[in-house]
Amino acid sequence: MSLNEILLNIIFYALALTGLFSSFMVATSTNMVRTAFSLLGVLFSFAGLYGLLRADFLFAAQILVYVGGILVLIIFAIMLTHKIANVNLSNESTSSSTVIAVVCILFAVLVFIALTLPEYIKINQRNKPLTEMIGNNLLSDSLLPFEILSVLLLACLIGAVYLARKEVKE
Amino acid sequence: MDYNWIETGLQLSRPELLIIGGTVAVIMLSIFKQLSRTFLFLCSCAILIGAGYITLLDIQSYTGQTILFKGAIGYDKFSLFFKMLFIAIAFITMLFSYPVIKNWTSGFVEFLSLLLCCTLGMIYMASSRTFLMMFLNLEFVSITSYIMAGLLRHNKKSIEASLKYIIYGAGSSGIMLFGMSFLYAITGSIDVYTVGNTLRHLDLPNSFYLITSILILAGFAYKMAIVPFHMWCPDVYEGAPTPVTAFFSTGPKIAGFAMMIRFVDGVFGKGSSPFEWQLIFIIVSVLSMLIGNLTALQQNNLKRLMAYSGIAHAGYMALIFLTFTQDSIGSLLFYSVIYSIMNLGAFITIIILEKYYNIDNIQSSAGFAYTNPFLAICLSIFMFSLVGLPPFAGFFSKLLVFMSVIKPLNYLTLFAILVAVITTVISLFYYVKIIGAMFLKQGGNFTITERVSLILNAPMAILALATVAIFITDWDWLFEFCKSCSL
Repeated sequence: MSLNEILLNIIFYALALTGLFSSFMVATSTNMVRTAFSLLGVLFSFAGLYGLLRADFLFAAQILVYVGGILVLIIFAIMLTHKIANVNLSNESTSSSTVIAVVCILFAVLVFIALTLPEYIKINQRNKPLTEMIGNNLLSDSLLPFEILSVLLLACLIGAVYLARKEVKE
Repeated sequence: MDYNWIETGLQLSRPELLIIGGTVAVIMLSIFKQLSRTFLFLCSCAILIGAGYITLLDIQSYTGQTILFKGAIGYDKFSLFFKMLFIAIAFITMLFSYPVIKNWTSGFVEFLSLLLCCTLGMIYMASSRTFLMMFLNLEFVSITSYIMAGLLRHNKKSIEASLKYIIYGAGSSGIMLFGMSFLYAITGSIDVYTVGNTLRHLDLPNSFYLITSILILAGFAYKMAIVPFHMWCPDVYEGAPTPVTAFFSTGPKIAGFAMMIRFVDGVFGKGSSPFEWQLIFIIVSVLSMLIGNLTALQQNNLKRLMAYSGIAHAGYMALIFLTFTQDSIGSLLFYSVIYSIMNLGAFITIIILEKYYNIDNIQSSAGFAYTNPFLAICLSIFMFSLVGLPPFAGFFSKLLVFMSVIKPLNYLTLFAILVAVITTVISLFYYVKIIGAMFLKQGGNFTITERVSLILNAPMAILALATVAIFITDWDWLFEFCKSCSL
């Protein structure tokens, strides 16, 4: 194992552990502020994992959209809400036995996939930056999905404006 | 560079372009306060009529298969058939929703434009050929549906319906995407037919197929409202505005089936396949028929009852995946046409009951037949047709699905058909419960505030007439047409 690979391994495990720990915190913590900040750790470590997998565009989008945009909004919303830190949760836990059963089944599926699937996967080595490929694809193979997406965004916009605006008295 | 494919693609998607342009136009026109609501409503209807007319011309002349936009969508009789069906459903929904929505303080234009957008998404769902298009259009239909469920934003139940829908939808489409990512990782393609061809040449363990199928089914089954992904259904149906509920129970559900057919056709193929995916469908459809029908027995609220009836019908429709031949797909197309007619009709009666008489459950409709016999008779026709009793169209649709499933007779199909027949008998009880309450019981006085609008009565009468007429007259041509449109 070369020094390069050792370094990559260390980075991978550090990121994976951070992600695991923070997502555990998100799921279990009852304090909203802590939950929001733990989510920051989850999103950051996933961005790092994307970077390790050479998905440069996804890495940038994750940082810009999720960390920079959505998460900051969530934290702002929490900070601006009065006394949200000591809110009383009415449902602290739902029937934990079924949840544990479902989680165990999902975990078994994931382990099974992680053990069997890799031998079938064909890995394409790629040295070009991903953004160029995405850009070309958006205007050739994925032209129609790209255009449909713009109509979808229009519909989302209508919905968001409708749900958020004040009632107009006529 | 060659750009002919864009030109060809645009030429063959005129109805879609009309709907997109029309949606934008309706939103723009709504800015002008001088234009009345009736005008905007007529504009939206005209858009759907125009799109439907173009599709009708296409479907008569076109035979063959074309792939448009570099493999993103398939243009064939199958997609044209569903295009026609979805435009018709949207048109009828728009028609009978007008008396309800014209009195809303806000949300009128939003309803019209979102209904048009949702129709566009459903059309593309039925013609998608790649995972990307499938996921995108599933989300398209879902997101517009979330907003439509919450259109009554000062009504707690409506908002609750919207939120529940979002949470279930986000979860199940995430799971579906996870399953699709495995297929992509192994085959390196997102085109369903390429994926199917590649999989046939690989020697993969059966457990892989089992896991990916279940994961992907989560997304589809949630749209089709099949057990075990049906939990959102009763609450959303109850909370959403009734015209929207009528639309949910037909349009997106059938769109889910259309997409599922293309997916199964591409990845697993007709007839023999490397994996016995029929097993999954047997479990899923038997559970839907049982849970749907048995839970419906205990319902008192009309909309909740229709939700469980919809789950049960999705179970009957899912039976066709047991054989999955050209005939069985044809019988599903036939079923979806009849189902839309019956269900939309039943919902029009529910809308009239709710809007003019303030009735939303079975108990309070006792003795209603003596107040408005016309409505009670129409409702009885739809209910008997939903059961599948002989003098109505619902009988043939169920019969054809059962017959197409039973052809390769083995223990599994026999078991599924037995359950289907028994649950059909069970369903008689709750449908007849409504009719019995209206005709046989004595009830209070029903005061009416205004005359029932013609725009509600006329479609109801026409749909009821169609339910009977399809049985009496020569229905063969419709079935032959459906078969010719099958994949």
